[in-house]
Amino acid sequence: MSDQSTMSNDVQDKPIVLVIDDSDSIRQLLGISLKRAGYRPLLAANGHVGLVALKKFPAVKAIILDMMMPIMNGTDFIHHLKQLDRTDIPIIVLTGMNDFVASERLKLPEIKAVLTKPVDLALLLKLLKDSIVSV
Amino acid sequence: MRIRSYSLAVALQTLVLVVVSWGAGQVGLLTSVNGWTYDLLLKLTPTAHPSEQTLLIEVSRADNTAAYWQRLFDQLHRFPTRQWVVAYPSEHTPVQAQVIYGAIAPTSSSEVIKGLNSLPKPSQGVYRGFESSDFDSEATLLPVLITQQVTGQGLSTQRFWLDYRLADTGIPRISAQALLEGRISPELLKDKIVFIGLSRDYTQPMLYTSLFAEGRPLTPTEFQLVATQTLLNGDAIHTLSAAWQLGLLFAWCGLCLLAYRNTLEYELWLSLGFAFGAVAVSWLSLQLVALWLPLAELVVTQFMAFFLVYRIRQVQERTAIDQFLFNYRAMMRKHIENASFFDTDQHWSQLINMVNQTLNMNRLIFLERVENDHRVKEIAALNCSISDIAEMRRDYERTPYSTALQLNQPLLLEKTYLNDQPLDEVQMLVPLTFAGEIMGFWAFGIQQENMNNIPNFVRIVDDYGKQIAELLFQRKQWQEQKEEDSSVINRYLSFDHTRHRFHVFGQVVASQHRRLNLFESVFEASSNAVMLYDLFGRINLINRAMESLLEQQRLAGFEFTALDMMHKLSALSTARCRLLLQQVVQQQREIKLLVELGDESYELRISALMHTESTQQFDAQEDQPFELQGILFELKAMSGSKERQSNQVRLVKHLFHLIQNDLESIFLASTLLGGCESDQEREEIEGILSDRRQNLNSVLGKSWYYLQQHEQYQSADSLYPLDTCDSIEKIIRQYSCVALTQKNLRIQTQLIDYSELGMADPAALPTVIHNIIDILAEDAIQNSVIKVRFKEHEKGLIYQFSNQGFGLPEERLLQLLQDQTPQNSENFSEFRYSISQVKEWGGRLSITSQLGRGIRVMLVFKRFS
Repeated sequence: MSDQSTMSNDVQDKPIVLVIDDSDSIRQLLGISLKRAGYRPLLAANGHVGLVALKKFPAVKAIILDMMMPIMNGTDFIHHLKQLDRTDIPIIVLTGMNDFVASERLKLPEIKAVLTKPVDLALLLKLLKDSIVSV
Repeated sequence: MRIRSYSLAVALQTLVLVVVSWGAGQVGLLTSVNGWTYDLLLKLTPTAHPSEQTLLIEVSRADNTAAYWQRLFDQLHRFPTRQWVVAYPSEHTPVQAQVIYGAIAPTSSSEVIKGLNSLPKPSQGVYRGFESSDFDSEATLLPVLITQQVTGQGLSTQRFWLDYRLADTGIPRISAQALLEGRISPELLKDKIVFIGLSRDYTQPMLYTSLFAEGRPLTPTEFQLVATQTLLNGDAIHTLSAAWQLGLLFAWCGLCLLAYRNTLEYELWLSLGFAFGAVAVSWLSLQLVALWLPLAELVVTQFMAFFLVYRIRQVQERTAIDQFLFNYRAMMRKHIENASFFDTDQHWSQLINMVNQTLNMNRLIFLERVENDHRVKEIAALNCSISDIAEMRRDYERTPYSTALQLNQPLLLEKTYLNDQPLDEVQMLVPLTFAGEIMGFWAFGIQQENMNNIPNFVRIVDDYGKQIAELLFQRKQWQEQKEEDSSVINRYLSFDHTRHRFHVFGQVVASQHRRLNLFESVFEASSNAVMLYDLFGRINLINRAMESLLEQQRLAGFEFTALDMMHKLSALSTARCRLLLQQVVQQQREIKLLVELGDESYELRISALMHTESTQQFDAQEDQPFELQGILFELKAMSGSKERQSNQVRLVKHLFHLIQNDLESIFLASTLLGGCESDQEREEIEGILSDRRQNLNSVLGKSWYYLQQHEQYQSADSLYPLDTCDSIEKIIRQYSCVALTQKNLRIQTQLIDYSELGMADPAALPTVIHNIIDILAEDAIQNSVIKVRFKEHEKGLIYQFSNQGFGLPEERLLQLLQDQTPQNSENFSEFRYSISQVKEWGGRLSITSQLGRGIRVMLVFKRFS
């Protein structure tokens, strides 16, 4: 788990945002931008790692989730999240597939927003802020 | 009618057969055979009762004096004999009233009783018995006379064969000298018929008989004695009269024919049985009723009946073969040699049909030469008639016909030939001549534009004209031959033409064989739906795949010409289809069209089947006026390409995802670079940027490579990046095997929507998966579940197949995997091959088992990226 999810050493009281994406580079870059925006990013390479990270850091305030991932994809991750009774955490979905946007699978109450790649960072951060505030 | 005449013929032949065998017997041709069989059967019968009523007194030739004979007679008076017989009296024999004498020509006026002592005519030197034809004299035979005298009963028979079995037991005999010397007991001669005759010596003729008495021939006196004893014993062997023989032979022949007619097999054994039966009946008849049947005639008749039936059957079979050949030849010609063209009066309209399918003409007319005249008449026309021809002479010895004949090629008509000629219509006249014989003319009008669209139009028309003329010439020949055939059909079916028929048979069968080979090779070479049109654009052959395909599409294939079918399948315009068909026929080009039939896509290939050099060697004797044999339509299913296309789409999607991730990273990095808060962060972002650029290049390179591989990966050993989850899911869904059904097994898959692509051979993957399922199903318990689980790992894409089964001991599993068992499972043989195959893909295939738990198979694919 430790090799795939990392906790920033920044100030502990910053809101924790879990980033789940199979692309190493996107994960890292999202982490940098979240840090800049004042969040504490928690990075996971797939849904399975994300669930482990969530168990370790239950104070996660929001989740940025990629849908298409190996091992455990976004849909399965949400399914397990429900089983853990953590539907209180807002989820922002990032997907490269336009058809996913209209997919029935994304019409869930936990999903606050769906953004298609390439991601508009400003919009992502705004949605993130709104989601955390509304919780 | 035919049956009646056939029966009559059989009856007549039976009559002839019986009369011939009977006649042969009557003229003595079978006498020796009959005699030989009589002798043989006589030897096989039990010995008859010995001679008890007769006795022979032998007088030595040296004692043949009057005084001696007188002394003998005097001495005999003292013995209580019944009758004295001197069959062959010498000049010294005294004449006494109580003695019966034998004489060559006895007279009834004499007081002394005399019987005819002539011997029967020998057959091949053997004396068997008396025949009515043996004597001209009406006198009573000596043995008959003696029997009449002794028994006091009248005996009418003059014709009987002797029972030599009496002689075989030995003739009781004493010498005259012993009698005179008183050495003979009177009891010995009591009530005996005493034959007195000269003893055996070189002067006596010796008679050879069926059985040699005491192993030697008989003297004439002994012969008369045996004949007399035969009659006295009631053992005279009679023969049938001519009429009875004839009747018997007819009955026998009828019986044989009946049996042969109802026996299709084992005729030879039946014949042998009949022959032995005849022998047995003759033997029994001889034994029980002392009747000698004409055995030789019976056997000859029976074998002749056998050969008659055999021959009739042979003729019938040959007739059937001939009929079959005749019909078959007609059928062959119809299907293979365009016989319907030769045979039908509509041949011209067929030609029009052909021409119209390939050359887009406005109107055309075929003119045929009037028999024994120099005029022409209309045969068939399209969009015109003979009344549209401007010149009224219709004389082919005049222009424009004579000019066309002189040129012997298509003549471009400068003057209007067909009336109402549009401005853009070109009119031509083509002479149809072959082997110097004028078959007719072909005139047509075609739009200039259409003509221009066909390259080498004049050459093509000329070529068509020549081939049509040859075809017509051969049709004429064929029809003449057909008339000849039908007029001599009976002769054709008769025995006289066996050689000819078998020659035809050989030709037809050989031709059929070659044709079948040719067409089968064309058809079998293709697993696709195929149909073959003849040169007139009508269906000649259609394979099963095409038949069912057309049925599914509710297309009545046999009703469509090649042009119609092409139009229906391709949905192209008729004009376009005609143009394409022209290219196929004239330029021998292969046309490929994409065709949608239902939900399936097909590639329609149209090509010309040409009369090549190699087929010319085969068909030298056959009618091949056209170089073109037919037009081949082939529908090739594109499902394989669809699968490849689907794999390609998945690959592109995946590549898109990879590229998109890289581009996204580059985009994000570029965005973040502007607001870097530290050098470390900048370096980190720049590092990512550089890494992603390199990765993007690499991904693009890979993509290019595999997208180029698309067309090539049809070969069995080609690797391709596959969405393994999707592929395996599909393979499992479509698979069913006996074990799955019999054990009511269920396959449960837990796969995911999206995974990394794995490297595999798409053509071989189904075999590997089927093999795994077979192994698990074979081991599984009834009504259980086979599970398929997927796990993505950095090292590869892992599929776990497991069952609820009996399992195998480790040692046994090892043996199976190493092929160490004498009778290895076929599934495991395949599994060993699958292991090596998956290894070639860069993956791994392994199997484990636990006794009582089942089998677990792990299939690992190498990741694409």
